[in-house]
Amino acid sequence: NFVKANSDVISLPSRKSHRCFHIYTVFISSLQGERTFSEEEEQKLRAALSLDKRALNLVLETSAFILEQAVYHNIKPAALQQQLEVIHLNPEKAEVFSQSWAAAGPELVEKLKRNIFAPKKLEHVGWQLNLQMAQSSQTRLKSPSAVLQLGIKSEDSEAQENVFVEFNHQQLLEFYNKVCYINACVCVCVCVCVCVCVCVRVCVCVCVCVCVCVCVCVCMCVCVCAHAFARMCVCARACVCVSINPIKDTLLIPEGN
Amino acid sequence: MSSSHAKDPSFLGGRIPPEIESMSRNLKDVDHELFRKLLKAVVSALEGKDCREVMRSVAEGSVIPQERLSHIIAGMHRLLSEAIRIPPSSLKQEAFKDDLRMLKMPEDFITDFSSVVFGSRRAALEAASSQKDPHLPTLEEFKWRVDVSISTSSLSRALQPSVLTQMKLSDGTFHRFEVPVSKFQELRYNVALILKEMNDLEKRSILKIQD
Repeated sequence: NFVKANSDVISLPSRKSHRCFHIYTVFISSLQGERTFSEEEEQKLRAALSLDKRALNLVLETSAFILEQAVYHNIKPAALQQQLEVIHLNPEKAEVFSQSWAAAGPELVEKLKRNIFAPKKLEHVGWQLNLQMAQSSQTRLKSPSAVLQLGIKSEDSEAQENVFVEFNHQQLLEFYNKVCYINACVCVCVCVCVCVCVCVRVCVCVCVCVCVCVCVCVCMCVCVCAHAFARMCVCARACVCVSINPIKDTLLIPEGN
Repeated sequence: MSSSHAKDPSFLGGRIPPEIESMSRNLKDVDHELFRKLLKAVVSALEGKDCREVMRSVAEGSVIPQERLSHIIAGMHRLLSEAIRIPPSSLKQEAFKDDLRMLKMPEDFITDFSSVVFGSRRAALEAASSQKDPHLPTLEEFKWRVDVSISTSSLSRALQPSVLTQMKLSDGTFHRFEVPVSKFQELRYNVALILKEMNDLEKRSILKIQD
């Protein structure tokens, strides 16, 4: 099917295929396995590209597959072009793919990275600060109280559920301390992410580069690497040793893929 | 017709509540021991405990008819509730005692009332009574977890942290939800902003005015 689709793609005149794949890149951002073009749009495409229904489907599915793989591996445009040429796709068409990917790819990858799926997600934060003057059981209060509104959206419904939580000064301070602590953990996590990311590429040079630049994460790097990726142990130890060197001596630009 | 104090109005207001008036009438020839038992039971009731058994045993062991006892208990309850309502900065112990003397109550009883209102149990009484007032749920328990998604079906290297929070509120509800990092930073910013506003508010002169 892939080869057949290739031949269909190859047979498309260059100008038209460029437009087709450019449009398609925009729609691939849904990546939900649903039909990206409506029936009407498909008809227009068939007319524009002079393809029958089956051929068009094949072309669209193949393009989708190529782009999904590109997103999954976060491949560089040049590498994508090279890979497509290896599977005997016309260099012109490969270049079109590569250019579309270069234009829309990074944004798409970022969007997917941010798109966490969870049954319930926090969407909105609102608040209100009140000064309570009295209540049934007490007069002359003058106590400040804050109401935090958390808008939580469920995966399976459009409606947002509002949760209201009240805090007095002391309770709010305790909550804020907890939130700050979580923030510190999140920051460490980000450092760990960087270390994990580079360690997996099994590139001592890169590890050294990162670890020297961000001293704080040196220890975390060692722990995570040693624990999660056993064969990265060597890599991790190298990181620690080199960390004492000044940054300018070890600043290497990592060769990413 | 009740009479108010010549200088300042009593802490009970311009008009003495009827329960308190009837209590002061019925407190005649009540011995101190019985009074203390009743006061103790009423304080427990105000703190939210079930004191039906205690009341029953006191009523059975006493020579005073139940009707009179019920007037006394009602009066005590009302008196203590009204006294707890006013913060100690506004109602001083001496003024409180003076107001009770106006009701022609024996001095021992006044001392006992005073020790409840201005003593160590006051905080518990205040907390218990404010429970019944309307308020939004407060945060009872806050649990969290930081996750890093290494890989997803769409991306082989996602590496995005996210925070999973579980909140238990005072009304018993549980809320478990995921907070993306950007929203978490927004939440942190907003909480810091509220704290700053609260600090500014507390420094303002309106709060320094004593009443």
